[in-house]
Amino acid sequence: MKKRLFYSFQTFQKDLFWLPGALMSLFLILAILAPEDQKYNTARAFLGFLLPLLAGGLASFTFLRDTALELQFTTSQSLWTMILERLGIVLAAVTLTSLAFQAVVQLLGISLDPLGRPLQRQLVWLLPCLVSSALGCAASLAARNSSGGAAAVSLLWITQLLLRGWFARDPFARNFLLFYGVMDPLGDPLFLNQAVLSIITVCLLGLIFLSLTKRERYI
Amino acid sequence: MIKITNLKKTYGSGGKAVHALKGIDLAIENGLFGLLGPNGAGKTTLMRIIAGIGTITSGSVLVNGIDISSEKGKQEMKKQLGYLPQELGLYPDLTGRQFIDYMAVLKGLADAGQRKQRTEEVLDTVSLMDAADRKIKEYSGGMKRRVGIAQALVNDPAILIVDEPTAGLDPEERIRFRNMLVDLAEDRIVLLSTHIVADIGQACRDMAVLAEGRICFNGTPAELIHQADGHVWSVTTPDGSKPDSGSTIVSVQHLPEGTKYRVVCEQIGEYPNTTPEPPSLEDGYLWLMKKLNNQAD
Repeated sequence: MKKRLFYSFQTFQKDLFWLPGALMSLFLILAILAPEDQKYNTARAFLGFLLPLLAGGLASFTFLRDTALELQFTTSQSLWTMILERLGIVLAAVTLTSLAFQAVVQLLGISLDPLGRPLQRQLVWLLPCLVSSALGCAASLAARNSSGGAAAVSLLWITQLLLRGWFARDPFARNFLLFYGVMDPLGDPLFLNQAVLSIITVCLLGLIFLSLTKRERYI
Repeated sequence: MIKITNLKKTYGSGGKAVHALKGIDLAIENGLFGLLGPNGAGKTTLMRIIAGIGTITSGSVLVNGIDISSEKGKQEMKKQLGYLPQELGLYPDLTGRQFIDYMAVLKGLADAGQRKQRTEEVLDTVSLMDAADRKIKEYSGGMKRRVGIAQALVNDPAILIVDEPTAGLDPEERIRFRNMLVDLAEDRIVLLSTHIVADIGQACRDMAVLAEGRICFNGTPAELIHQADGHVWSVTTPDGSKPDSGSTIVSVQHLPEGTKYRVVCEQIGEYPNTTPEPPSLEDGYLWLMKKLNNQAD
């Protein structure tokens, strides 16, 4: 297992992982330079708004940029293993970025308490990241193009970002809002929002599996 | 044994549907089996279906008794499979040894000791021991092909599928590769797809010719050669004029006494210097293609 993960990481598009590190550094600089009353908002923006976009973008490249995908398809590994391993690497990178960011932010004296208790706080960015990474992967397979997946994630992200006020106020639409957790972290409707996001993730994973059963489309 | 029954494969639907395979029936036993055919005949489609990558439109494929139409069947069959695709994609930043080890991991060789031993064995089989610790991006085309065959062999497969394996290799490498396939076919099914006639003639016990999605010949190379008996001639024309348009020119040689053509045709016309020739496998293949074209016309 250790060896497998080592190779999976080695063969993954490692250069894509520079991006989270670079953006994390940028947001840390912004948080340091921001006025005192804006520091929390800057940190919140990175965790709740930017990380889902990053996760979705990275996940769009998990399958179709694999130079030996045809060989991978001829091994007896299950499709679920392939899916979970590849999305797992993306989520591991995003998780590391998020935890490192939170640690540095705490060291800078910026409190993230308004986002809830430490564990509760992790759901605020993790669930949107799960949805967007599953969407990025599913859309790239549907479009047979990695950039198509990244475009789908970007489109959803920008639409929800611009209309976040309407989404948050509408009792039905807010359940589909990726950023609801970071906008109303202690509100009662959050539970339903997180449940809906989890169900969407599971559905998208199912869609990825079904897409991959048609292996020949991707080689 | 691979048993293919009335296999059809269609890409797309409606007016844009492309019928890549139009009802293939084939039984492939242990040994080296050659699949020959022009570009676009459906060879790679057939190979991919047998390798569990392609989906079946209708018909059935049984590989050592396993029906590969279901996802479960495909996974079960892949435990016995080694596959070298036509367009071989590798991981350029891994070394040859790492790549083989990784493929062994993916093929389910969990025991590290056993995996190491197998990796060394296949690297030795393909004569890559000296370059095993170099990154794949530094390899020549022939070395990459050898890494490709090594990864296909690492799980000691009962079925080895190689799609155009000698394309792009120099003559010496090609012969070495062909001989390696013959050795490997001693105790397993090796399915070799190619459009290089010589590779089939020199190595395969049984063969099939695929054209336009149909099997138009299934037998031994000798039987295919035999089909062209009496249809191959050597014609020398002093002025260099070509023989009738009805014949297929296999080769041309410019000699002091004129231009010498080797032709395949139903009946040769009236030429002064004409001699019948014993057919080769290439002549047999060309004669078969010619008959098919005539039928189509």
